[in-house]
Formats: sequence, C-alpha cells, structure tokens
Amino acid sequence: MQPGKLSKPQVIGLLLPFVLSTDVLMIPGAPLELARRGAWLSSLLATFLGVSLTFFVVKLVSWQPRLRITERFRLLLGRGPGTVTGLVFALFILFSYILVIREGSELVRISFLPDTPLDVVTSGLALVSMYGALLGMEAVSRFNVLVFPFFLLSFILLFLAALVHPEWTNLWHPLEFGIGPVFAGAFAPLSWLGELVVIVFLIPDLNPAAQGTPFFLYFVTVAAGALMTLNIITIQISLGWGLGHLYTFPILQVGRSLFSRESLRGLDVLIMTIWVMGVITKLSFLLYYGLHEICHIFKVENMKSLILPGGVLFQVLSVTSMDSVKELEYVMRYLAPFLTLGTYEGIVPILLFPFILRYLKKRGGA
Amino acid sequence: MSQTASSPDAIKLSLEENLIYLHQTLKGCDDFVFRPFRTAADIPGMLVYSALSTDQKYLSQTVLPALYRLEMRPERGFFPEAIRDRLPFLPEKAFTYWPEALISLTGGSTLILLDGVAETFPAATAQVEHRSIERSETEPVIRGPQDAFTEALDPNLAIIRGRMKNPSLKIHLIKLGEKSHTKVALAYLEGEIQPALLAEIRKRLSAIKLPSVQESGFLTEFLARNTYTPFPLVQSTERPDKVVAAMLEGRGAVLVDGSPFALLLPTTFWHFFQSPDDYFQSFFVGTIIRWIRYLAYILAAALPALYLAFTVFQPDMLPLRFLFSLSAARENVPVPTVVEIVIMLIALDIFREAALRLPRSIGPAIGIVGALVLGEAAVSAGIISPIMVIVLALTAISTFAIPTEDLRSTVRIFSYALVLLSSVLGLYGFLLGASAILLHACSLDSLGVPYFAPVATLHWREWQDVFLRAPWPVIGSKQQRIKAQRQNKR
Amino acid sequence: MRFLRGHRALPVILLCVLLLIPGCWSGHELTDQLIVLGIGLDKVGDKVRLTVQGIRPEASISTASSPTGSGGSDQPPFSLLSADGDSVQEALQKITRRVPRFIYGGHNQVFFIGESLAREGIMPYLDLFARSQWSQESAWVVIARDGTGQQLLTTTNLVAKYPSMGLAQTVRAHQVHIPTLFQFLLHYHDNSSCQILVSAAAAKNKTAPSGYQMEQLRLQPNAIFQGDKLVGYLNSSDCEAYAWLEYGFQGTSFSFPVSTVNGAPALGVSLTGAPAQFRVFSTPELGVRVEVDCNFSVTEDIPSPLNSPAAIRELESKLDQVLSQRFSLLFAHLQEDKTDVFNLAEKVHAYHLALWEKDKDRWPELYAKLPVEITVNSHFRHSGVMTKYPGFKE
Repeated sequence: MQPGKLSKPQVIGLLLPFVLSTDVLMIPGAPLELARRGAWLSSLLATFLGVSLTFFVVKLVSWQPRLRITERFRLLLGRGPGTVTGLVFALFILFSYILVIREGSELVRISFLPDTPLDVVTSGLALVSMYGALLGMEAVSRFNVLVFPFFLLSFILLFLAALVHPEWTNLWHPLEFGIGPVFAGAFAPLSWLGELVVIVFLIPDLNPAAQGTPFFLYFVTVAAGALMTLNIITIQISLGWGLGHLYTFPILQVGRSLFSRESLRGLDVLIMTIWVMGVITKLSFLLYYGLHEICHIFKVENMKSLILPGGVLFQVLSVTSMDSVKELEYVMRYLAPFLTLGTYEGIVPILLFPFILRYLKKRGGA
Repeated sequence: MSQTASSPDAIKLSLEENLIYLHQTLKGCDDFVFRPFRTAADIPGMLVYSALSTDQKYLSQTVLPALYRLEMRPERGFFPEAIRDRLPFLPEKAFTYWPEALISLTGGSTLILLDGVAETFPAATAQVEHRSIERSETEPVIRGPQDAFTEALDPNLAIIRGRMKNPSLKIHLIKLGEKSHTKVALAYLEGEIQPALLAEIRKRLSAIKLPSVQESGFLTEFLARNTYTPFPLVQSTERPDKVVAAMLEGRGAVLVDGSPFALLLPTTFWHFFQSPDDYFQSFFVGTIIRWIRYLAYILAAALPALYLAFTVFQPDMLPLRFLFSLSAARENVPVPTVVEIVIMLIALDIFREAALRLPRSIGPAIGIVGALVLGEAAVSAGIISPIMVIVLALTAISTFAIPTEDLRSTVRIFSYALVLLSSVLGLYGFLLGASAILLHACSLDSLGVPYFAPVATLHWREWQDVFLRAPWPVIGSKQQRIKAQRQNKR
Repeated sequence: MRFLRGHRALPVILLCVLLLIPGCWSGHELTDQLIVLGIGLDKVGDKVRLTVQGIRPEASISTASSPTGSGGSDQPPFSLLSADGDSVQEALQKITRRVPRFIYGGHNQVFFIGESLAREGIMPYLDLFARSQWSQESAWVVIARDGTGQQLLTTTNLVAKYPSMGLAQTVRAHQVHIPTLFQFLLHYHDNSSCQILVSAAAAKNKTAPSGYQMEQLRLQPNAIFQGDKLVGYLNSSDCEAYAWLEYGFQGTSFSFPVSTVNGAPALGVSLTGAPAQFRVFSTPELGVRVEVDCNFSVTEDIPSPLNSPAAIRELESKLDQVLSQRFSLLFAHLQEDKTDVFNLAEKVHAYHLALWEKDKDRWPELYAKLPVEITVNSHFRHSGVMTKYPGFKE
C-alpha cells in the first residue's frame, strides 16, 4: 500500500470500533468488580487519563508522521535498540490479536453456539480477519465505514432500552469505598483505551494532509471514553453492580434481558453480530500491521505469503494458550492492562518523549 | 509497421498486378464483385465491392456514371488530387496499402482501382441492414424516453449527439479485434471527465488484445481488470439517456459496433441501483423506491440463509406463534432445512434459466408451471414446507426488483454461499460470510474509483444520490461525483 | 501482484471447506425439538421434581383449527414430562433421555415453583436456567400457593389451551405485572434483598353455571421473598396496594364510600398514574416519604353531581384519604414483617452513605421503625361521556 491512502474520517472510524469492540464486552466487568457503584467514574477517570496518555502518543506520531514504526524507534534509540523495540511492539499487537480473537469467539460460543468446538469458531474469525489483512487496510477501512454506523447505533439502542426502567440509584454513591477502588477499576478500561497507540502503525498510511496534525486522536480518545462510559452506565442502571459483575459479558446480558419481550425478541443477537463485525475490523488491523512490521524488519518482500501461516499460528495459540474463559477474563482484566500500560501504551511513549525533544533540539541546533 | 513502395502489400501502378493480388486475397470470397469500366479518357479501371453490404443502386447511379465521365489522364503526383475534385463522393484519404484498403472493402466500401494509379479510392457505399430503434427491453421505464441503442454504432452515436448538442462531447473512434476490426467508440464530455481517468480508459482500451469483439461484454474484463469477482465493475446499458447522464457525471462511455449495450465506467456499486425512472418522478418517490431496491438486494442475497439460521440455530429470535406455524408446517418434510433450501434454490435458478432461453411466447408459461404447479404439488406432497415456498418466492421476487441483470446474478452466488455457511454456524456463519463478501466488495475498484464510493470513502456530499434521490435543483449542481472519488491507485 | 489476485478468493474457499467438513453442531431442526413453554419445580422428599410442559406444534395446529378446541383426540395438546433428581440438571437429563427430541427452552414462558421449594430457597434451582444459552431471564417466576408447580402446569382452560401461554395472554390483556427471572435476580442483589413475587393458585370459577366452570389461574403479587426464600404472603387488600405503588395505576377500578356514614353509596373511579416515588430523608431523622400522583375518572356515579369546584376538591381529598389509608395499612404490615420490598435500603445506601455504613447490619430493625409519610395527590379528570349520573333529574 502506498502512503496517504486513508482519510481522516476513515481513520477515526477505524480507531473507534478498534478501541470499543473489545472494551465493551469483557472489560466493564473489571471496574464493576473493583469500583462497584463507582464503575462509571472509573470509566470517566480512564477517559481523562487516556487523554493525557494521548498527548504522548500524539507527540510520538506527529514528530515524523511518514516514518514506519521501527524506523521511528531506530531514529530515536539507535539502530539496535530501535529494531528490538519495534519488533517487540509488532509481536505485542499480535499478542493482542490472540486475546481479541479468543474474546470474540467466546462471546459467540457462549451466546450462540455452545455445542460448537471453540477452534471452529476461532478459525472462522481468523479466516475472515486473514482475508481482511490480505486485502489491505484500505479495504478494511471501507468495510469498517459500512459497519460502524450500526456499531454505534447498537450502543445508543441499548442505552435507550435501559432508559425504559432505569435505576439511577445504582450510580450513586461512586466514592463509597473511597477513591482507591475507582482508580483500580480505571486500569482495565484505560489500558484498552490506550490501544490507541496503534496509530503509530497507521500514521504512515494516513493521507498527508491529516498527518501533520493528528489532534483528532484526542477526539477519538474522548469519544471512545464517552461511549465506554455510556456502556458502563447502561450496565449499571439496568443490572446494578451486584448482578452486573457476575456476568462474563455484562452488556450481552443487558441486551438479553431488555429485549426479550415477545415483539422485540432476539435484538440482542443482532447487536452481538454487529459487534463481531467490529471485532473483524480490529483483528484484520492487528494482523495486517503486526505482520507488516515484522516483514519490514526482516526485509521480507511478500508480506501476503505470511498471512496464512501467521493467522493459523495465532489462531492455534489463541485456542491453546488459555484454558477457559475465566482465564481469558483474568488475563484481559488484570494481566493485560498492566502489561500494556507498563510498556507500549504508557511507559514507552512517555519515556520516548524526552528522546523526541532531544532529537528536535539537536536538529534545531544543527 | 514500416511499409515501403516495394513491399508486397503496397498498391502497384499496374491494374493487372493489383487485380492479381486482389484475386489471390479474396479467393473463396464469392460475395466480392469485380466490375470493370473505362473512363472517358479510356483508362481501364475496376470497381471492387461486396455484393452483400454495398448499396448497389448508389453505385450504379452515382459512382459509375461519374467514373465514365472522368476525362483526365493519370499523371504522376497530380492525378489523385485532381480525381478527387471530380468525384465528390470520394473521401479525402486514398489507400496506398492493401491491408487497410481491404478492411475498408470488407466493411462495405467500394474500392476504385485505375490503371496507372498506385492508390485505391474507397467510395462510402456501405449499407448494412440493421434493426430500427426500438423500445428498451432490458431496462424498461414507466416514464421517460423509451428509445434504446441498436447494433449499429453510427446511429447510436447519432442519438447521443442528438441528446448532447455540445462540442465538448468528444467521440474517440478506434478499431479493436485483430481479426474482426470492430469499430469502438469512446465518448466523454471534456471538462467533466477527469483527465487521468480518460488517459487510463484509453490506455486500457488500446491494450486490449482480442481476435474479435462482438459485444461490449468482451471488453468489460479488460477495462475493469479485477477479473476474479462476481461483482460487475462496469455498467452496461442500452439506454441513451443513461449514457448522457453518466457522461455528465464525469464517466466515459464505450460503444461497440454490433452491440446495443454501451459500457459506462468507472462504475460504483450504487450505480446499479439507479434507474432513470428515479429522476423522472418526485424525489420522495424516487428515494423510497431506491431504498426498496437496496432492501431487495439484501433480501435476495440473505433471506434463505437468514431463514435457515433463525429456524435451525436461533429459534429464540422468532415469536412463539410464528415458531408454532413454522414447526407445524415442517412436520412432514423428510429432508433437513438446508437441503430443502438448496434444492429449491437450484430449482429456482433452473426455472429462471429455462424461462430465459425459451422463445418469448412460451417463456412465461414455464414460470407459471414452475412456480404454481410444481410448488403447489411439492407442498401438498409434503416434500417441502409451504413456508419455504414463501421464503423462496420472496427471494425470487426480490431478485427481480434489482434493476440490473449484472447485479442480479451476483446475489444468486451469494445466496448459495451464505446458505452453506449458515447451515454450519448459523447466524455466526452468515455473518462471517457477509463480512467476507463485504470485505471483498470493499477491496474492489473500478478504474481507481473504490467500488463502494462515495459511502465507504466518506464523501458526504455525494451521498445525496445514493441514499436519497435529491431534488433536481440540488443535485443539478453536483454532477461531478466521480471526480472527487477517484484515488490514484497503483 | 497479479497472480496474487487469484488467491484473494482463497481464504473464502478455505473457510467454506473447513467449515463444511465436520457438519453442524448447535443447530437442530425445529421438528427435532420439544418446545418448552413452562417449567414446574417442586420439592419431593429431598429431591427436586422437574416438570416440563412441552408442545408438539403439529398437535397444536390441528386442534386449533377445530372450533371445539379439543380436536379429534381428548388428549391435551401438550405433554408433561417429569423427573426427580438431586439437582435440576440430573432431572433434566432423565427427561432428555426419555424423549426422542431435543429439549428447547428458548421460548420458556414461566417457572411455576412449588411452595415447599420456595420456602427452602429457589436460587439453587434456578441457577441452571439463569446461565443457560437461551435467554430464559424473560420467563416469569410464579409461586404455586399451597400447591405444586406441576399442578399449575396442568390447568386447562378453553380460552387458553396451554396454561403457560394463557398466562402470557392474561398478562398482555390485563397488564398484570409478573416478575421475571431477570427481575428476581436483580432484586435478589438489591441491598434489602426483599421482594414480592406473584403467586398463583388454580381455582374453578364458582359463580359460573356448572359445566362452564373453567379452571383459572388466580394471580396475585403477594409472595414475600427474603433473599431467595418465601417468608409469607400479603393479604389481598395489601397486595392490591402493593401493585399500585410498585407499578402504578393502569385504569385501575376502585370504589369507595363517599362518606363515612355507614351504608353510604359507593363511588366507582378509574385510576391512572405512575408508580409511587419514594424519597428518603434524614432530617431530622431517617424517614421515608411516599408520593403518589394519580388521575381518576368517575365511572360509576352516585346521585351527587360534581358541579362545583368545591365538590370536586372534596371528592379528591376523600379519595386521597382512602388511598393513603390503604397504603399505610400496607406499610404497617410490611414493617411488622421487616420486609423492605420497596428496596428503601438502596436509597439509604446511595444518598445517606454515612447512615448506611453505621446501621447497615441492623437495617431490618431500623426499617421496622422507619416513619413513613404518605402523600396521595389525586386529580379528577373526567367522568366518561356523561357529565352527570344518567338518572340525574333537576
């Protein structure tokens, strides 16, 4: 793909479901469990912290928008460390791919196809995402534009449905156990909001007019945070934390409970299908850029030949690396957040910030 | 292709030598007539023409008498120009080499050969019988112009000129087909079409290597390049008004001699849902009808698969009473739902094909036999459930509501694929299939214009002719749709 | 680049092939399924008895077409399958082995729960259904008063052929509120964890002539639950008042004497209004204010014309008084039982956190002594198509 292929609205459309498609399924369980009634506050807090993280991400990408990620790190850290950082980052988003493919599959398996073997469900998702990666980001972003409105609509629809019998009392008092649990609960949403850092993979493919000022990232963060908060509020006013934190996919339960009247049967299933489509976008994205960067580092010309073996490998890993949905839940809620925030989503962009400043200063002086 | 006077293909001075060459080349072509004559200056000459495609009356009343009265003697260099002054029916250009002269001859011209002249003069005597302009059969409209293109290129171009009286309408003529030498015209509006786009169309047209071009359909796969797709990437139409509208949009039209279908390109997915009717009616009506077509497309592709997914995998999505009727209706059906659907889909396609290929007078009869008699019998025999018949009938009717045949055939393929996927994974399988189809469609482009533009490329302003049929005062100023959407691809 | 284009279809083909090889797992033909419409849960000895009401749709359609409703055969159009087990799962498995069809529960309408089971705690027995793939959260939970769930599943009635479906029709027609499994779970997790479920008893209509006495389910929101255990019943006056407070008035008919004089004529009104608002206040001390706002229209008048604003105001205040008496009676009983069915604990928890932290362990005692202020505000709106009593003469 040549640079400058994706327009700004397309990228916004791509990033929003990217962040949200996983953020809404399993993640609300974490703030609900930790912050209880303050889950929504956790989410707001995560949005706020997310915006400050975005500052560093924006610095990272606006500094040299045309550079591929490894080149970027090489320029900042020197050739050896830069390559390693880039490679680990690529592997890292492939790790994300493994988690997401498992999450989407578990959603499908638990709610639609309980008798179907898990590997069949994952291979279905993997094959479509491989196809998406094969076709390239341009096709995926167009596909996403077609799906995204429905994705967004499902949020609004669920919220409106929850408004029929809202229990606003469930939102109060958010600071029941002090600010500590609220902070603790903010970690998981923040980490998945922080996935926005993948923009460093995407930025060279953005059209040049939009590259210079990636301030739309702030918009994406705020919008994603707002929708995530809306999602958690929907869960809270319809399920409350007591019932809410018992479910693997609380929002799925909201759909099931609110739409199960005679006339509105099965709308929950439709909503879930739309989310699976959002997950497809995300998976194609992760697979494409993960493999793309690896190919770039090892100077492999034909990236497309890697898609099939890569996709199959990660699909197998996604099935074998975690035994149960509980384990997946644990990883997604409590392990991945610290791993991601501790590295590429939080610490790395922040640590790179002085390097960027130094680089700019050096160049300015020279 | 450098030819010299000494090459065997050059026309010689001696009439005899020329005749020997012609007799050799045209051996076995019994339709060619050699008519000798002598001019007033007593120079021997020869008229060569095809008896099949020549206006012989014109020949005997205009061409021959003029030649008989010709009084000049052949003198080097001067003669051809002089002769052209005397014979007003001759074109400006004479042939000096045989191959091109022969193409003109087989095209219906009469070749005039004179002794002592190393040239041959073609007289435009071609007269090919062709259909008169008739009503459009494949794209009928209720209101609006009814004329359709015919097989002959020139009258077709004349209709277009007549509808667009403007010198910026350019018609670029080329010959395609290494053996058939078919005339192909590329028509476009200068100022509307994007120059890069025009260059691309020209490049692709001139790169076509085919022995013969009999239908514009031959060219589509060369023009679209993306061969491995069921989606039509080039729109074809037999309606002149559509061609004119497309040119105003900044698209090019390719017309082929011998084919009543013009090709319009670049084409997006949404073009196939636009019928001229939309623009002749109130825009409310036009908008609603357009939405119904989109719905019909989705239904035609998805309905059998969704029926399968809902009844077999997700019965909890159906209302209880509906579930009762479904279940009771299926009670005596011996085969699984998926087999039932596939059998019915195949039967449906066979009926469609049968009705299409039969003579027009008995075609509709097949439809009635198939739909009514067989369906009714199958239901009462308990082989298929009545609800399945309803579903399939709805699918078939939805298919017919899609305005273009090219697109109609795609949904048949999709419906089979989606049914098979749904039979294994239910709604999830359907979804994977639908996503794959959508991804595939999104990866397509027609001459650099993304297939799902302007929707998938987020050109908001142009949505008014996709989701709406905006009123004329609004839409009239926004005809440059293709211009904005094209991206430099590869 | 060019040769790769040919391979674009590869994943799709692969997908199809891979998926088609092994066949389908989760799909079942409709005709292979037994559609469950109602489930009965009872305690028999120390085992649980699961009764499943399954429908054979083909039977239902054939009988529905005949006007007598019984069709050719005298058999009921549903089948009852029953099994005992240590757990619901075990009983279900026994049933599954006995029928040649898959048990499909996606359209289950109701859980009829025997009283003895309800007294013991119903959560362990509803567990299986709450985590089922099919959304059974929308099925109603109904307590069989003085009986078993199995009995309720057998009530037949000409108007509604299947007891469970008849229930659905009743609910739709009369806007009766029956808590669903989802609502039960929701209230179970409330702070007070007290709630009122609907109880049902099968009864013959005694006032009808013999031969026309259909068996009917009498539904009343009166089963008081504490946690997942049935602790008692409300009396019928209280359960009416409870429904008004919890769900509001929906064209509710109500009649009351116009004056306190014995034998005074009764005035019939039709009430509409939203559910009551509960406001917990803590100054000067913890208390609750119940605000009921309703509109009424006169449906059966007495010969006392409402022809002056004063008369209307008088009637309104009379109605207010009568209604608040009913509500105070309800609260008196509820406080006596220490059952916080309106979940006031939640409000205290949310808005008076300090108080809640201090007293949450002795909330039932606190609740029993909680001062309740009831304000009813009724407004006269119209009196049907007539402005006065039809027999009214100057």
